[in-house]
Amino acid sequence: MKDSSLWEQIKGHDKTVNLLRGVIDKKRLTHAYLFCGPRGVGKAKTAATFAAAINCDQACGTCVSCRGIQNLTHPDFHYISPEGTQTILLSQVTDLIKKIHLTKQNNGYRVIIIDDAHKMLPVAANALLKVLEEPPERVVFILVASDMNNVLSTISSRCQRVNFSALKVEVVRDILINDLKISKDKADLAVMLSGGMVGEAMEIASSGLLKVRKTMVDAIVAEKPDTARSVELASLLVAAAKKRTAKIKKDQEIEVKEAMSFVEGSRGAATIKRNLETRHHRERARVEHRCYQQALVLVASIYRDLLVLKENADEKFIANVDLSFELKSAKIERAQLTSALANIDEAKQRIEQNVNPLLAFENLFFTLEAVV
Amino acid sequence: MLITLDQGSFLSALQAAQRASSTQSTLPILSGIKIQAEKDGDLEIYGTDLEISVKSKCPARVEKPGSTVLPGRLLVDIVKHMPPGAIEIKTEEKANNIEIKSEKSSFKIKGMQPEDFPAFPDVEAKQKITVDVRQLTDMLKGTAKAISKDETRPVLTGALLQEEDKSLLMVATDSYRLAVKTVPMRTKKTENTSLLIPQRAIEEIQKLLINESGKIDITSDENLMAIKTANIELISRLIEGQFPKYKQLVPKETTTSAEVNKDELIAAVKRVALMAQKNMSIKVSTDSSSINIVATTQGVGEASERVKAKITGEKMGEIAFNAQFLIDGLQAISEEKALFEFTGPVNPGLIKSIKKKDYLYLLMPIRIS
Ligand SMILES: [Zn+2]
Repeated sequence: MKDSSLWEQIKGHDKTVNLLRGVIDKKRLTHAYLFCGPRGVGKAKTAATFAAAINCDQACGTCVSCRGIQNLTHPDFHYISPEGTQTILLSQVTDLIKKIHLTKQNNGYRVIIIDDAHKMLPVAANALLKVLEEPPERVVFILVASDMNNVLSTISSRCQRVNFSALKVEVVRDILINDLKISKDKADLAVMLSGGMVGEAMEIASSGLLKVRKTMVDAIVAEKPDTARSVELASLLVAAAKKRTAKIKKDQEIEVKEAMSFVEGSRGAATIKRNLETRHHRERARVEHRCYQQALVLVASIYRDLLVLKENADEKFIANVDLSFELKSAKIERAQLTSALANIDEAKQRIEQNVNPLLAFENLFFTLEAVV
Repeated sequence: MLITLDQGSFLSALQAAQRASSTQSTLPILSGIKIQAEKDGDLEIYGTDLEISVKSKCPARVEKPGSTVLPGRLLVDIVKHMPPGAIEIKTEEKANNIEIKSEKSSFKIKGMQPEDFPAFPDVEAKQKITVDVRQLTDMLKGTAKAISKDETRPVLTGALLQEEDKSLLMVATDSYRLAVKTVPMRTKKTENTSLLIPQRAIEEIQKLLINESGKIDITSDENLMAIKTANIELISRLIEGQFPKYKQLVPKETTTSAEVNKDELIAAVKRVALMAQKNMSIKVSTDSSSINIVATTQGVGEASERVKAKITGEKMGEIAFNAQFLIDGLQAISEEKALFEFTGPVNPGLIKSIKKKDYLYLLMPIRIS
């Protein structure tokens, strides 16, 4: 059967997609689902497609209902994601509940997606629980979570669980190359470094971090420590992160400008602007933070490659294939390699604790070179 | 799109639609207004915040049909400041650039895709209530203030419109007071329609009816209600759930009844309330020929007034009410005189209309500390 459907755009989750399509075909909807699995594998995208399919069997992607769900103007569709720094607030849930207590506009289902549901504040989760305990008719909740430890068991027990696994390397590669038009070399590296998370792989590929690798490898395999080089490396990594956030900021400024030209002068304009800017600020902070974590993954990948080579394992198991020549020239002991990995882990924790990233990186490279 | 229309009628149609558009959403398109010109038709203007939707019409000469979504507030401002007379609206074929021109001025603004604008909802007229505009206005005025703002009890955040035998009722309560306005209907209904209308819609319907007269229809299905004047159609969602059985709250008998001039009592309460504490509490009592009102503020002073009244039944000791709530109830009485009834200091007070018996306002007392 040839059909054009939003389902076709979901890659690597055939089993899950079949299960969900079966639910639609057999009209066996339950009132709440919990989509769980690793971050960045396409859970939210699948949730939005499922939401579309609930009111349009084919999830055609082009009818009024499907388009309304995609651009959030469907009258009986609500989407919530963290509006607090890292949390879903009580006010977001009470606002949702208020909407649920009004009649639907269409005759289909009311669908609610709660993205990053593991970030719901306990008070918000408890407010939601009351609705899940006595669900209104013809309402479907889709909760999306990547950290099951932070989902209240009282909530998860009221939802049908739908599991997502990490994507296979080939699938991520396919998405990067064919859907996101990222060059093959970059895609391969990004896939290796991302651990099967499309979102992460995409960011790595476009981060400029990959370019820093050569300098990094040179520094690591060098026989003499060089303070200036360490300082330069640290500043390169921080600059890569800043460059990314600067680019995002540009897009955000355009978004604010467009939104404001539309609401200028209306009563809530100032609030809308403030909300938008707070959200943008948080997004940038999140991306910057993730850039640093990715940089550390990159550094670690080099040491891991060196370990692989030490074990005389096949070259195809190393991540930085393009730099294998340089890597092979390294004269570093096994013990030194493992202690370097421990140092990287420490740096990761420091950055999580909000230590100045430049200092943290400088510190890391001094230590790493001293190890040799 | 290329159309010509009159500034005055365009402005009022725009303002009607703009009231429905959202001031809070982070989705810009919901603060927009959609305008749509069909061949040989009026210009149709749409606004929505997804809770209520308004469609208004404005006569126009349509040379080239078309549609677009424009920033609501900006558009209203532009049209408001144009001189009376003809306005021309023109869109460039591809880019969604719109030009609005009067005799002397011209504005260019960027529009959004009309396809992205939420569709105007469909209401199947499964039920229909036909009511006199003046009577409906009285119902809305008499009950709107009693609507609850407490979102933890959603069923109280609107007013109930209910057909009952040969009358139509509107009821609202915030659990401190209950207001019931009744109007007689000529025909007995077989099916008694019951709509729980959100506060937001109540407010907008009041504005919609300001310049209307004659009869008006309220149609509804399971999901939505619609009310339509010659040029404006308003559609609202309803509140889900069961409105409380309020009739059992209304006492069948009371022990004290005071017939009083409504305006005199309102004026007296307003004056005394100036001396009331922050919670606006005033004390009411009766003697053989009057209602007495007292308010005290610790350390500031006391105010009291005596309003002549025809008292029947027992003498009433002191009972405390919120002054503003009391005024709200009295103001909804359309006759010169009102009945103010009590059953001791802990039971609710009752305000009623005397002649038409079309209004009832139940007011909970405040505990006297
Ligand atoms: Zn569709």
